[in-house]
Amino acid sequence: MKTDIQLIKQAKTGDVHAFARLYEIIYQDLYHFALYTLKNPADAEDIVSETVTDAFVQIGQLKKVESFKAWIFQILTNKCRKSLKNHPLSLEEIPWELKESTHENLELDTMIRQEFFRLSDEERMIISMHLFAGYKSHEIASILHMNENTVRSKESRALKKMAVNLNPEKE
Amino acid sequence: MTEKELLQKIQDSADSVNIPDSLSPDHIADQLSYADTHRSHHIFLFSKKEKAVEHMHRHPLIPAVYYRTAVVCILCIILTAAAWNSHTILPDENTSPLPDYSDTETVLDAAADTSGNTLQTEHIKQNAGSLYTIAKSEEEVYNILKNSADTMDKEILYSTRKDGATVESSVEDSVSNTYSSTNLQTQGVDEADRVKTDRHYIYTVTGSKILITDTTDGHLQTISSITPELEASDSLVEFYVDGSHLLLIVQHYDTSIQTSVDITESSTEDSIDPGFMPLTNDKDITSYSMETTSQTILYTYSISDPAQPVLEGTYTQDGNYYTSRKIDDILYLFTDQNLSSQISYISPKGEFIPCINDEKIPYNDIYLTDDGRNGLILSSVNLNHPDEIVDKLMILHNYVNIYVGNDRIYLYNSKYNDDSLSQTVTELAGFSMKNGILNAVSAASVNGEILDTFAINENQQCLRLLTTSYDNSGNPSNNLYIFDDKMKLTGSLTNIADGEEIYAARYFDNTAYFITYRNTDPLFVADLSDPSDPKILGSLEVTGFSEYLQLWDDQKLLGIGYETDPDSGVTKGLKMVMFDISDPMNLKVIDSIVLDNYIYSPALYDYKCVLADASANLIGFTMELKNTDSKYSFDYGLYSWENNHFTKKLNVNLTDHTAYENLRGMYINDHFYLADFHQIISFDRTTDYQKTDELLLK
Repeated sequence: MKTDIQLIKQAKTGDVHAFARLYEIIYQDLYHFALYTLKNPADAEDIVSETVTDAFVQIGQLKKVESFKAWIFQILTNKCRKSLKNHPLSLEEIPWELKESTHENLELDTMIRQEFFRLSDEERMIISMHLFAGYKSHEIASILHMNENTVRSKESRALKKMAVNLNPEKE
Repeated sequence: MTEKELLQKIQDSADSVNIPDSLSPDHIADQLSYADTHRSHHIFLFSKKEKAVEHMHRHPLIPAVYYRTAVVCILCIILTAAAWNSHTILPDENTSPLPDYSDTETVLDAAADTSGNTLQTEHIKQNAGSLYTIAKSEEEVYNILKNSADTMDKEILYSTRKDGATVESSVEDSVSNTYSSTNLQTQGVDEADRVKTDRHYIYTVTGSKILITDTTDGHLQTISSITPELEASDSLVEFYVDGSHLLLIVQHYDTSIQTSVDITESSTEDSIDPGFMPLTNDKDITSYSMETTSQTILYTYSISDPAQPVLEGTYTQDGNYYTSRKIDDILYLFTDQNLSSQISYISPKGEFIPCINDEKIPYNDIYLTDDGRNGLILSSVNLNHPDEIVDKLMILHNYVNIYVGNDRIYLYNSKYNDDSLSQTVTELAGFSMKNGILNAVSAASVNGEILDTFAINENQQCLRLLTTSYDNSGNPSNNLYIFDDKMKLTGSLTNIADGEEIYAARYFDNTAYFITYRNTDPLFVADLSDPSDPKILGSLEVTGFSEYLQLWDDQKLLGIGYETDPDSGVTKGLKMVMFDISDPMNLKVIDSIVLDNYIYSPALYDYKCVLADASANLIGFTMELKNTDSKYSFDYGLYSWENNHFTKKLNVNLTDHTAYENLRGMYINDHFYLADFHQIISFDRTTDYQKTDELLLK
């Protein structure tokens, strides 16, 4: 944790390598967040790029160094929200680049992803914020301007819906 | 599969996706260095889509085509993002597990002092313990906002929030009704909705109008409409119908493009060359943002003659509509406004304090917390004088939930300690509101979080809470707390149902009913009659869990929730259950019904969607059906309770256009109605629910 703070302080002075090391810790989460919210690899790639460049330009203004992760995810969250609002999702099927080592779980992962993508924009956003960005429900509530209980129940509802669909008839 | 396991699987599925090379840390570092050494100050990466459109490859970092709108939008986001710094995400170093907020101040119920003097609007407000303290000057308010604003948070707020409050049984309410009313948290505390009925009419928010539809004998005919003067961005939120009055709540937005104070480049939005981004550096960033101010407007109409509604008064309060309540003739209006976002633009002498009816809220009506960013504005209006403020206050906060009981308003929030899950507490402040006169009572703090809207309840000015707390490994257990009328803790029970969380709760007089859940659903009954010594009287395990509980009569408790497999925890579908609570030591299930293939109902989370009325013997709600082709559709199901069984009376397939979360089932005498914004359908209850009429609303 200490070292992170030092890195952030260095990054604030414009140190690219310090910034890149900070980025390295969270870039997978950033990409997963964008991908699972926007459902489109190309859009996710673009939006993470924008987020990172914006963050680098703006990091000088980051006052509380401890909050780097929350801060950069806030940038990303807002970009994703805006994107969902301005460009309704394209329905084109995009081929997925999957890691080779994970073929054994390919079927399950694909199924999970498909079910996840059937959730509403808001549901995907809430779960992504929880899972990839690590926000707590009151933080999600605050960012999305929702009631904390509503956030919880929406997430719970979405997960239940997924769970039901992932379990083939179980009479 | 538990929610945790499913979340893990989602995580796993994400982990199996390759991250594009362009996003690898090395690549990003190269790009940033390149930009840095070329002093382009701003860095741009081309979007894949633009590349595709242009059919050409450029170095991704040379600034070129960038759309003007994108510039505005990105800078706006930057501003928003930076505001995040001050958020509550950081642990408060001084958090002790159970701060005592009630210590310092004299606790007295101001409402009691002012009772009998309802005209008094000038009275001195007192602190809410040490949780919220009254401001001593406007400067003090300014300094707190300035502190908590690292920069600004500009964003259009869209959502009107539903509140997180609570409670009551329907046992007394519906006895003499010949028509249904909105399902309420607290009997006697009315709530607004978007579809309502009274003895003769159904009122609906339809587009920018309220339509009043005559329902005589089940035949539907719109007789009039109310069309307030609106601007394009205004929207009708919800309304009350009270005898001869209709109170309409409208959300008003003013949006304008703002440039930031840091501007050194003399450009406005229009002057940006769409081909090039102005070159800037960190010190002199040209920032544009959408500045949105919002106001909540209350229009009061006389509907003595429903064919000709007449506007009687207009009342404006700054902020986004949060929620409202009505007790007798007094409306309590809650709005919320992000104050720290604009503070950087404003000098301490400037206008940063919100207004009600264009009147600034005086500093001695403002409650402070050290890190508050938002202003929760509460005012009371008497509907017989619908232009006038009865009383008002504002509370600086980061996030609060609201619960309104019969005598008091409670604000509550979870306070987290990032280092220690087990130190999560719920902070509460109570405010008296007799005849619209508002004042703080005190504040308190308990372990754990309030997970269900119905887990907080007031009975004769005494507060009762059910919370779920977690140990540091995340294992939950539950607590029950009872307070006296001064918000002093009188009794508690802790470590209830180790390993489970509260899913649903209801209080009735001095009894608490609550559901905890792991793989099965224990219903607990607790006796609260001795406030210093609450006791668990009994419990009953059944499969599945209830998310919504309502007293059906004094012998029976209705639960709506899910059936699950007791071994795997897999959810099987919606379920209704009727508990026999006549002997708390010996709880029984009288009947339960699993609604196969129905996977969700908005009733589980929004009590206004539930019709559960023992006097008319009707239970109705919208249910989401998973069809054989894996497509979803919605049905409205109506049941009655006959010979100790749930009996289906009516099933209506809803069209895709149905606003299912705002669909209300209602009855007036012998007819049953389904209404949303677009359509009303009537059914004859005396002829097995044959359809009588149908009306499209326009």
